[in-house]
Amino acid sequence: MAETIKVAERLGLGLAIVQARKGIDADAIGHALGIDLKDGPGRIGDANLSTIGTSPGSWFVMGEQASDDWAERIAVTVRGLASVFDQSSGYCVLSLSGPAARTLLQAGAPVDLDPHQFPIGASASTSIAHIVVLLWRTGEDSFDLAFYRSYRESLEHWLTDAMGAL
Amino acid sequence: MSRLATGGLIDRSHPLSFSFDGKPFTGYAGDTLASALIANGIRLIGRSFKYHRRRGLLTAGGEEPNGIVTIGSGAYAEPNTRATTAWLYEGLEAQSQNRWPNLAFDALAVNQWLAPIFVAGFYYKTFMWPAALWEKLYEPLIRRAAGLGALSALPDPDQYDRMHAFCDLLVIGGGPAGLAAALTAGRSGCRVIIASDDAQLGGRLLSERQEINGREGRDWAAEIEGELTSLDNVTVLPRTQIFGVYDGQEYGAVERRIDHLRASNGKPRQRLWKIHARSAILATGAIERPLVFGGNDRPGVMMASAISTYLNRFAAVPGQRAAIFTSTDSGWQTAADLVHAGVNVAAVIDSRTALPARARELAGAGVECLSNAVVQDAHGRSLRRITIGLEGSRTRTLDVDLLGISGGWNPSIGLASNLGAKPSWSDRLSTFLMEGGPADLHPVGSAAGHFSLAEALRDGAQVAGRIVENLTGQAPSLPQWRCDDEATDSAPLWHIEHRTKAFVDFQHDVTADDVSLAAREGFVSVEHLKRYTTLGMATDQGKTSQVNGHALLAAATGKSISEAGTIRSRPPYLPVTIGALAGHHREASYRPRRLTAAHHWAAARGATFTDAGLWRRARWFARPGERDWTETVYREAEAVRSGVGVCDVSTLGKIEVHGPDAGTLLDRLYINTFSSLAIGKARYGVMLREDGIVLDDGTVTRFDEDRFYLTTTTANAGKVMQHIDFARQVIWPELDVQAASVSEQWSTYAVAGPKSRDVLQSVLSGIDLSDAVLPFMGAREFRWRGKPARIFRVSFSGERAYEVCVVASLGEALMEALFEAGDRYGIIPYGTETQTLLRIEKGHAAGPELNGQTSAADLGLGRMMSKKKDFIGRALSERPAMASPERPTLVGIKATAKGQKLPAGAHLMVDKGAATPANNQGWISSVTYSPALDHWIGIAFIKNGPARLGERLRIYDPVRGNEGIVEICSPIFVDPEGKRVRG
Repeated sequence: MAETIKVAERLGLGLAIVQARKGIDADAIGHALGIDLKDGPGRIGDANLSTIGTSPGSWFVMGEQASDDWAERIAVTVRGLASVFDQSSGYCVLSLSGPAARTLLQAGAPVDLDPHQFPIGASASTSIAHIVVLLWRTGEDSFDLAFYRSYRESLEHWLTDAMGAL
Repeated sequence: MSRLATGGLIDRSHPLSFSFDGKPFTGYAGDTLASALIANGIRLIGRSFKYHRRRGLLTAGGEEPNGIVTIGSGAYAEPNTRATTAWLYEGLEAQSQNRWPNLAFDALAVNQWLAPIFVAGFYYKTFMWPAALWEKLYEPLIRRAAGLGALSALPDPDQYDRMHAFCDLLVIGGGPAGLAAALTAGRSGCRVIIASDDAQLGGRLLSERQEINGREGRDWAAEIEGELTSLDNVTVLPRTQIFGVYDGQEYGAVERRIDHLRASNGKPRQRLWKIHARSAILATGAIERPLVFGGNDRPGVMMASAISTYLNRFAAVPGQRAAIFTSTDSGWQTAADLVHAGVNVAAVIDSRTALPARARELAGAGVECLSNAVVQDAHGRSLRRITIGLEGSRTRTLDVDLLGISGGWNPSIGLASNLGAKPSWSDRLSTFLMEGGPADLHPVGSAAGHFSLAEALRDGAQVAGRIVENLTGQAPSLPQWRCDDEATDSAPLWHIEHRTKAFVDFQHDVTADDVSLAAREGFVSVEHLKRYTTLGMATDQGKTSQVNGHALLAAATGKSISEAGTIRSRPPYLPVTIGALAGHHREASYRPRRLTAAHHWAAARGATFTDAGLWRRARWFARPGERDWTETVYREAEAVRSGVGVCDVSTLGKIEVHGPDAGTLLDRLYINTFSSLAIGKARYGVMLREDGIVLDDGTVTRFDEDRFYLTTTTANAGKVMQHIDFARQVIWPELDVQAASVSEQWSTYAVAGPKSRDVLQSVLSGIDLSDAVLPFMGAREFRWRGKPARIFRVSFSGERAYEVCVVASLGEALMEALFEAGDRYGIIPYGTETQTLLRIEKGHAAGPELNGQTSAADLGLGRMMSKKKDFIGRALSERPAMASPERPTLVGIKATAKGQKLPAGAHLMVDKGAATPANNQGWISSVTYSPALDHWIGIAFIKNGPARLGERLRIYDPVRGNEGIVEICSPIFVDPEGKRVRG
């Protein structure tokens, strides 16, 4: 069963928390960033730039193949509209894929991952093995999860045990 | 052997060897330990808890009170396991419990002779005199005699895992009502989970000889199970016990995945399920109620339905010559099953006035049918004779070795009261029903008091149909099945004249006399009855005893049972092993660990680690040959003060506060002012709680007009983030300010010592670290190896020092670079112990001083509190008692004798005078040996302390016995003028 799950770290990502300034709505920020930003959970965007709403007026923003000054450039782009907090080193992002990926994550997360309840693009802030995790579905059999980098060994320990138990 | 040649659900082609109390036996696949023991003619299973009476199996299910054994040996031994639900496997080893030296000759059976003393509540009336004997004699004796079963005291070698599940309908129970419900809902496309704690679905159909649609009940069940398994939207969970109902429509369950196999191969033995169900059906059936008469606990007295189960499901015969004592119609079915199996049935003794229709058929088979009759006493070490009471006070005896008893049926509604609902008494059915339970938990079939098979099938389908309609808006078509409408009447029989002990609670040895005694002594509520007599408090939670006990109490107190009420069942419904609840989180993994970017670097350098909350922090870095940690730490401290050392301070909280009103918010959170802080400057700050007590301290740095960066202590990082979020989102939502934790984004290292700048300058080429450019309390942003970096000239140690931050992905690399460049300066790593030693030498407050009891004034920081602005905690700080100089205030203390150590936590009394609260001057918060001064020093809180420098006080440390005199002094022991930190 364990062979039917692939775990890979997503490297080279630019990550940031973007929080709207007072009186500024998602549209204005989205317009500046060039994406259709919305308030609410769920992932919007593409590999180049995507966002996940984590609370009112606050988004977890990601960009692939990010330059060293990625977060600073985002900050310049949304100056006056939002505050930007670089998290490129703060989170570890893992991809889990394969026919058993959903079952594995369901063992750890108390969130309904049924494809009808959690389709591609859905996101949830939840916890796995006492570690706070931001989880989103990227494909029929694939999910990404982001969590504080310091918890990495503990989360991987849980992954190993849970995969062995399936 | 007592095994029928044919019949039952056992697999005779698959024999299994097992042992009980060391003796070898054989059973078959499909047996439980109980059925295999019965088939081998074993009647004695255990000894009762208090009186050590000989006991046999009473039931065939999870409600079993007597058949409690230990299965497995060594670390795998599981005590207090019910033999009735332990599936047999090859090589199973079982031991009886609660007897010494063995089951046949139990020395503690002497307790029976002391029965008049061991009545209910005896321990409230005994073991009191003489008082001195309590600790040395009575308590150890009671401790040895108490308890049921013994733990191996070895670590659990098995694995356990966990799963979450979500469904529209959770069906609890796999009998006919549950199967009908699951099928109805499953066919309509709803997400269904059906859970049964049995290995096979079918419930009562596996134990009875009933037909559905002309087929054997067990075959019907197998066919339904097959259809359920084939549906994608249905999950079938056998061997799974729903043990509790929780808030938020959550249900807890344990699946026994491989308990029935011997080797685990590393696979989890059990799995904890947390199921969220929009609705649930309680199809848990009913538990047969015993009758309370003399000697009703003798081996050979068994529930009638259990006898049927052993005969029909396991082809095991529990006796040679049987009688049935019943007040129900179902008891007669057992007589018919015994006759069908070829067992000699001497009589059916029915307490009711009229005999049911079945009587004719049984009389025709040679069974004596008595009405208006009761069994008064059962006799024999193992049952061999009963005394029957007839109309008109006549009695007669009958020789039998098996007596099936049936006093009625109690719906298994325990789960329905987990959230607080109380069952209500039904006079019509003479039992408790759940009428006001959780809205989305629906009892059906026997669990709802609908005891016939036909009702169960109808109920399950109808209730599921209503649930489906509520969820989908469409009423599904309901399946229907044909079966006999069997008789299910009963008449309660609560009180029977008896001469020998009549048991109510078998597992806790509570007798009918105990209930009367409790009532006479004034324990007249069912809640009192439970705790005073311990009725219902054993591992079976009174499944076979509660109702009888409550009925007897009601009679003794002149109330109706409805008035007396009953207690609420608590989860878990049946015992759950703690390993299943812990799952992955055991031993070192009981909580996650947080590691800094340089953790492995430090481990490779020989660091000894400690826990700081969830973080691992290096305590010290011992070198080979160092005698103990003090030698290591004093070396590290001297190295920092004379050369350069590096401490990983990445665990401290780091928060960014941005926005036009960031400065305003900080002014309202800290006691001092930050809106006026210049860009590129850092300032020490203190935050108070609303009540004026210090919440946390740290450094605030301004990098831009609208960009601040602040640090917190490791322990309070989360709390301060919450505090800031609450302030900006709830208290002052009109402010334009944003904030986020960046604790994980940055690695921070304190580089301290006279050589610190030299080392840093050779590593950080992108920035000018001269004093002119970066003075004390200055801060700069720059880049290192292309990525963002920051440097702050702040000092906790009192030496020239810097805190350098790089993005965490470069943390380890920076540490390596510092040590490569610092090698020629004798650079050393240092940990939390040295950090503590150095900060005490400088009189800096830290965790022991910020202990949730001290105010800013107590810490000597009263003058930092701004008088020009309001801030959280200001108002309550100004209360007279909070501002009084009489409060213990921070000062230094030093040892007065050579080699004298100081004990942190000790209090300080006036030197001459009694050790009384009135003479208590304060307490010692932090202590250390000071290499710089070559004696012990400390920080203490002393009444009016700063005005008493030079005074001597006496240590008061009664718990540890430390003594001595200290002298009050300034807390700044090293470099009081602060020259070193400014370079």
